[in-house]
Amino acid sequence: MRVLFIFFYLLSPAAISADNFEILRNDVEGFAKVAPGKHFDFPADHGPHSDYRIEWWYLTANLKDQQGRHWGIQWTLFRNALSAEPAKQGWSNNQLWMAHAAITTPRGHQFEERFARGGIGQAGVNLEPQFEAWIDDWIWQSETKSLFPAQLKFRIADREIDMQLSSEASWVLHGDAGYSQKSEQGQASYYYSQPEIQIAGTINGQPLSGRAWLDREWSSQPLAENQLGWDWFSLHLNDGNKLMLYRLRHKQGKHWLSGSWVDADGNTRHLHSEAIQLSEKDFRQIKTSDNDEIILPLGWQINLPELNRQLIVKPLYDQQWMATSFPYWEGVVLVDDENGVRVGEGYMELTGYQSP
Amino acid sequence: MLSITNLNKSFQQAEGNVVVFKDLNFEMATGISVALLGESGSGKSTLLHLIAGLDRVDSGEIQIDHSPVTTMTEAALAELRRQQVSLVFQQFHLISTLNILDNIRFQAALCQRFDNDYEALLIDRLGLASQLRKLPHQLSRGQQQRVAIARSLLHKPALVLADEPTGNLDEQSSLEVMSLFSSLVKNSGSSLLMVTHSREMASYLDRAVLLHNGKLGEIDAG
Amino acid sequence: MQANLVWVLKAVFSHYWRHGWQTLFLLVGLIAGVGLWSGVQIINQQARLSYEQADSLLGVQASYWIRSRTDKAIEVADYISLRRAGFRQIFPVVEAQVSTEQGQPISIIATDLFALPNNLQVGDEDDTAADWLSFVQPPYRAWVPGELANELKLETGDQLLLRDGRRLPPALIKNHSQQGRQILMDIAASFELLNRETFSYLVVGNIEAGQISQLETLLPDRMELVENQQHLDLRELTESLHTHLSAMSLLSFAVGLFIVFNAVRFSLWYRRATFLSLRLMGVSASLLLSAVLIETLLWSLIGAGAGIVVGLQIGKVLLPGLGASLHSLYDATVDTQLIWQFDTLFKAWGITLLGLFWALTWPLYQQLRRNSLPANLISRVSLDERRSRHYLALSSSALIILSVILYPRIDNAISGFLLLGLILFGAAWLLPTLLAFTLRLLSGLTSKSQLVTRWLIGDGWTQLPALRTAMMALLLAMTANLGVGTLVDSFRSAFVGWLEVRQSADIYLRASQIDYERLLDPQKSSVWLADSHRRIGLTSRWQGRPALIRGVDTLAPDSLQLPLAQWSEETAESTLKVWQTEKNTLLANEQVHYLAGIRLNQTIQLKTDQGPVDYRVIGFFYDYGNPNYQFYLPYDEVVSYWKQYHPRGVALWLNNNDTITLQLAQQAMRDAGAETGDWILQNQVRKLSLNIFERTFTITAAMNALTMIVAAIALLASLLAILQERLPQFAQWRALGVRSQEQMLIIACPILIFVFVAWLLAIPLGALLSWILIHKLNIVSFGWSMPMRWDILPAIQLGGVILLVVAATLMLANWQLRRRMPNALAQLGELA
Repeated sequence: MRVLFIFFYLLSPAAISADNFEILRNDVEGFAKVAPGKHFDFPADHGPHSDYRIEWWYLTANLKDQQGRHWGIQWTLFRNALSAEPAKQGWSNNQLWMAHAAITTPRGHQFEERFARGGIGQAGVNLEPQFEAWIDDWIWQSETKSLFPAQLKFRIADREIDMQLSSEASWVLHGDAGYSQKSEQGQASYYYSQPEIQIAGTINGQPLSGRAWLDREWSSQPLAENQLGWDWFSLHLNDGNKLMLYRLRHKQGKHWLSGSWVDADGNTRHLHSEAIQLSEKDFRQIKTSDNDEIILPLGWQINLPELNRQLIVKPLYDQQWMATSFPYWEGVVLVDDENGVRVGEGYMELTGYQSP
Repeated sequence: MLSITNLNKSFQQAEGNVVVFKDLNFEMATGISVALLGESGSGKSTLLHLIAGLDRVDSGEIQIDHSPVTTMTEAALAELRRQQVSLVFQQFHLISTLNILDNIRFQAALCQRFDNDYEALLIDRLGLASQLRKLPHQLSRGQQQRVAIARSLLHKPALVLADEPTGNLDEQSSLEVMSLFSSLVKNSGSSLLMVTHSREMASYLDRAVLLHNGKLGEIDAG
Repeated sequence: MQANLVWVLKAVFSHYWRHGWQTLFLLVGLIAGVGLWSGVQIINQQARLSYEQADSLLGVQASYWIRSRTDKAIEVADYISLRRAGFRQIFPVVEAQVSTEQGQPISIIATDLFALPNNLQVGDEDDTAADWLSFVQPPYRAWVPGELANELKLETGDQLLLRDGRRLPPALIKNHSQQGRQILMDIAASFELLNRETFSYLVVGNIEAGQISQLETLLPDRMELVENQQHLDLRELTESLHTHLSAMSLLSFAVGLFIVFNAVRFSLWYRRATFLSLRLMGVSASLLLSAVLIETLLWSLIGAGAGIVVGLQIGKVLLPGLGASLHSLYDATVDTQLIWQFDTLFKAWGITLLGLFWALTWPLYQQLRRNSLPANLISRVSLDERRSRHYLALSSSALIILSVILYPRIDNAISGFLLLGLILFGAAWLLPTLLAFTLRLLSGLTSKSQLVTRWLIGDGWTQLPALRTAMMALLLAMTANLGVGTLVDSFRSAFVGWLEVRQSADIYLRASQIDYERLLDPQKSSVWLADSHRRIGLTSRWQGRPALIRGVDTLAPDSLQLPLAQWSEETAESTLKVWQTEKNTLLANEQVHYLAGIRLNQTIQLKTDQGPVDYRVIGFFYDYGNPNYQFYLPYDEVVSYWKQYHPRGVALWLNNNDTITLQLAQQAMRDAGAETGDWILQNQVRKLSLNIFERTFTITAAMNALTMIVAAIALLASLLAILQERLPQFAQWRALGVRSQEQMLIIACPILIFVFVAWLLAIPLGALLSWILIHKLNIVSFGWSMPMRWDILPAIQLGGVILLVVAATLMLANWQLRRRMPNALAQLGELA
C-alpha cells in the first residue's frame, strides 16, 4: 500500500481554499484510470506512467552487520503529476518528484526528504539506456533496462549508503493480477512487488547484507473520503515465505484489509478481507518532534486462519518516526510466532495518525 | 451724561442663577463725580464693566451722552472707549515697552486728541516730570498709577470709570493720588464714576451711592 | 510623604488640565520629534538588518555565487550536474530588470522554490500548497510584495503590462522572505517571460570548508566560484547614506524639541506662582523636585511610546522608497515588512528623557532655587530674557568657533554632520540676539514716528521671549529646506547634464547571445548605423571594495566626450588623447580620487591574470551615484590582461533620427540574435535613470516637509502661548479703545518682522549648508563632486510658503482671541 497520496496531503493541507480543491478534483478527471485486466509489460512498466497521477518506487531492506545487529534502509521516489496534460521536457514540465530516505541503525533512526521538479534532469526515472531512478545525488542505477542488478547510492546527513541489489525471482502481482482495489467505491491502483531482493553493501564503509523488498504502485484516484489512513506490513519469514498486508482504516464500519502470501517458490496467494485478522497489541508513546508526542499501535498480531499462521509483529525500537511533510511511522519490525520464537523480520508503515 | 434704566443682570453659577441687578436705575449729570460703594461681591465692578460695554446686560438700557451702550456693536464700543470713556483699574496695565511719556499719551494718540498745555499740567500736577523717559518698571507702584491716571485723562474723556484705582497702593499714597485724581477730573470737566470700598475715598467726590441687593441708594459720604 | 507627593503632583499637573492647547503642543512636539527620529531609526535598522541578511538570498544562506566567466549566463545542464554531484545547497536564480508601461523599473527574481535548501522551512507560514502549485504551473504566478502591488495598483490576478508589451504572470500579493521589492516568480515563468533558457547565476548555500575545493574542481572553466561578501560591502557602501538619514532625523527631533521647549517655557511661566505657593506652604524643594522628576518621567514615557507608534507609521511610509533606492543604487534587498526591535523603544525613551530633562527639569530646578517671586515681575522677565539671549549668543559664538576649527578636519560623514550641526545650532542660538538687534534698529529708525508705530515695534520685545524658540525652530527648518533643496537641484542639473553626455547613444543593447560581428558588419549596417561602442568589463576588488574594470573603445563618441572632473594634461581633450595612445594609463572615477585618496598621475596597481600591472591615473571622470570604484581602460588592454571579462553591451548611434532607421536597427539587432527587451532606447534609459534619481530623493523631500510642518506647529504653539499669557493685557488694551484689527496688527507685526529676519538669515545659511553638503559631505561620503547651483527662486517660494503658514497661524490665533476676549474683558480689573 505505501504512503499512497502523500502528495494529496502535501499539496492540499487544511489551509487550501475550496476553489483550489476544486482544481485538484477536476484535474483528476483528465488522468488515466486504473482498471482490472491490465497486462504488465516488463521492463516497460518499471518506468514512469506519466498519464497517471501518482506513482512510486519504494524500497525497504532489512540488513545485518557483522555482529548480527539489525539495520534497515528505506528509499522511496514518488512521482506526482500536477496536471493531466502530457509531460513536457524542460522547466514547464508538470511532474513533481519527492523522495524519502531513512536509515535504521542499531543506534537510531535518521531520515531525509527531497523535492525536485521533472523535465530538467534533476530527478526522474529512465529506462534508456539502463534503468535509472534519481533525485539529485540519490540514485538507483541498474546495469540493465530492468531493475536488477543495480547499485543504490544515497546519503543521509553524514551517512553514505552504497548497496548492490540483485534478484532473480519473478514479480509478484498483488490483488487481482496487479489490480489492487482500495475501497468498495472503486478506488484502486496497479501494484506489483519484488519481495525477494538480495542486498549487500556498505554504510560509511561498514559491510552489511540482507533482504530487500520493492513495491511499485501507480494510480490516479485519491483515498475514499471515509478512509483515514493505513497500516501496512511487508514481512520476510525465515522459512522463505513473504507476507504483504495492509489495512485501510475507515471512519465508520469495517476496515478494508488485503494482502498477499508469497511462498518460497514464488507462488502468490491473494488474501482478501476475510482471510486476515489484524489487531493492535501494544500502544507506545513516541516523540514526533522535540516537543510533541503521539501514541501509536506499534505491536500487532496477525492471524491468517486459512494458512493457519499466527504472527506477532513488534518494532526493532519505537522511535522510527518520519517527520516529513506528511508524517508517518515507518521502520524495521521483528516477527515472532505465537510462542514467542523469532520467525522473521520486515517493515511496517503506519499513516494517518498525525495530520501534517 | 450717564443714564441707566431698568438694568437687569444675573450670572449663571454653580449655585444657580445669581441675580446681580434687578431693575436698577441710575442717573448722573455731566461734570459730576460719584463714588460707588458697596460690599465686596455686591456687583460694583460688574456695573462699571456694563457701563464701559466690557460686559453685556440681560435687559435694560445704559446711555452715555444719549448714546445707548447696550445696543452698540463691538466696533462702536471700541470707538466709544477710545473717544469718550476712560478706564482706570487697580492694575495699571502700562505698556512696558513704551516710556512714561508715551504711556501718558497712549490713549490720546489713539483718538488723535492732543492738548499740550493740559499734558504739561497733568505731568506737573502728578509729579511725573522727572520720570518721562523712564520705562514703567523703573517706577514705583504709586508713580505707575499716576501714569495710568494721566493716560486716562489726557484726551479729556466725557466719562472716567475707575475701579479701586488706589487699591494697589498704601494708605498714604492712596489719599494723595485720590485727591489729585478727583481734582484733575474736576479740572478736565469729565464725569467720574469710581468704585471704592472706602468712605474716606468717597468723601473726595461729589456724590456717593451704595449698591446693595441689586439696587442703588444715595448716601451721604461726607 | 507619599500623601504629600500626591498633593504636590496634583498641583503640579493641574496646569496641564487647564491649558489643553499647550498640553497638546507639548505632546505634539514630543511625538513629532520622537516619531520622525524613530521612523528613520527604524528604517535604518531595517536596512542594516537586511545587509546582515545579504549573506542569504530569499531566506536561504548564500555563501558563494557561481557565475559565468564568459558571458552572463549559466546553463541549466551545468546546474543539474552540480546537483547530481550532491551539491544540493546550490540553487538557480534569474534576475532581470524590466520596466512598466509607465517606465517604472521593476526587478524580477526567479528561482525554483523546490530546489531551495530547507525549502519547506523557509516558506512563510501562510504559503499554502495551492500557492506553490500555481507558482510552478502555467500560467504561473508573480508574487508581488504588498507595498509594490499598491504602488503599481496591482490586484490579485492582474498581469502587469511591461513597456515592451509583455505581461507578467498573474499577480499574487505575497511576500516571500527577503523578497524585498522584487517580484518573485518561478524559473519556468521567467524563462518564458524573458525568453531565455539560462540562469543569471547559481547560489551556493551553507557549504562546509571541505566541500568548497571539491566544488571548485567540479566547476567547468567557464564558471567561477565567488565568495559572497555583499553584507560587508553593503554595510560599508551604505554607511554614509544612513548617516545622512540619521542626521536629518536628529534635526527633526531637535525641531520637535523646540516645540517642547516652548510649551515648557509656558508651563514654567504659569506655574511660577504655584511653585511659590507650594514652597510657602512648606513643601520642601526636594519634594517639589521629585514631583517634577515624575512629571518628566511621565512625559518621556508618553512621548516615547506614542512617538514610536508614529515612527512605525512613518517608517512604513518611507521604507518602500528607501528600499527602492537601495536596490537601484546598491543592489541591496531590503525587506518591506518592518521588523520591530525593542531597543528602538529604549533608545527613543532615552533621548526623550534626555531632551525633557534638559527642557523641563533643569529650568524648573533653577526656578526652585529662587525663593520668591521677584518684586517686579516685568523687569525680572526682561532681565531673564536678556540674560538667556546673551547665554545663547555666547554659546553660539563657541559653536561657530568650534565649527571653524573643525572645518579643515572633516574626513567622514559623521564629522561633516557634526560641523553642520554646529553651524545650524550656532546660527539658531544667535537668532534671538539678531532679532533683538533688529528690534533695536527698528526702534531707532522709528523713534521719531507716531506713537502707535513705536508701540507696534516695541511690543516685539514682549513677544520675543515667547517666539524665540519657535523662530529658532523655523530657522532650522527653513535652512534645511533651502540647503537640501539646493543640493538636490544641483545634483539634478549635474546629473541631467552628465546623462546627456554619457548616454549620447541612441540604443543600448545588452544580451547574452549576440552575434556582434554580424550586427556591426560595416557593409550591412552602414544604412542605419553611424557609430557603435562595444564595451566589456569585469568586477574585481581593489582596496577592499568592489571595483569595475571596463574595457572601452577610446575613440567611440561617448569616450571622446567623457566628462572629466580632473585631468593631468593641459586640457581634458589632450588628456583623453594620452589615454588613447599611451600604454598603462587609465581613467578612474572620482570615487577613486576622493574615497581611495588617489591623486592625478599617481600609479596604482591592478590585479590581472598575468599578475599585478601598474597604471598611471591620468584623469578622473564624473560617475554619479556609483558606489563602486571604476576604471576605464582601452578595450584591447582588458582583453589582453584578463580572461574572465563579460560583455557589457553595445551602444549604437543611428544615422538618422527617424522611425525607418530605428526599425532597420531593430531588425538588425533581431537578426543578430537579440530579443525585444534586450535593448533600450536613449530616452527610455534617461527616463529610467531620472526615475531612480527622483526616487532617491523622495525620502529627503518627505523629511523636509515633515520638519517644516513641525516648525509650523511650533509657531502656532508659541502664538497661542502668547495669547494665553497676554490675554488680560490685551483685554486692557481693548478697554483703552484699541480696535480688534489694531490688536491683530500688534500680534502680527513682530512675528512678521521676526519671520522675515529668520528667512533672511536662512538664505545665506541654506546656501552655506548646501555648499558644505556638496563640497564636503558628498565628497567624503560618496566620493563624487558636482558644481553647486544656487537660485533665489526657491528662497522666494519658501518665503511665500512661510507667509502662508504665518497667515494661517495668525488666523487661528485671531479666532482664539475672538472666542476668549469677551470673557477676558468681563474679568478686567479682577486680581489675577
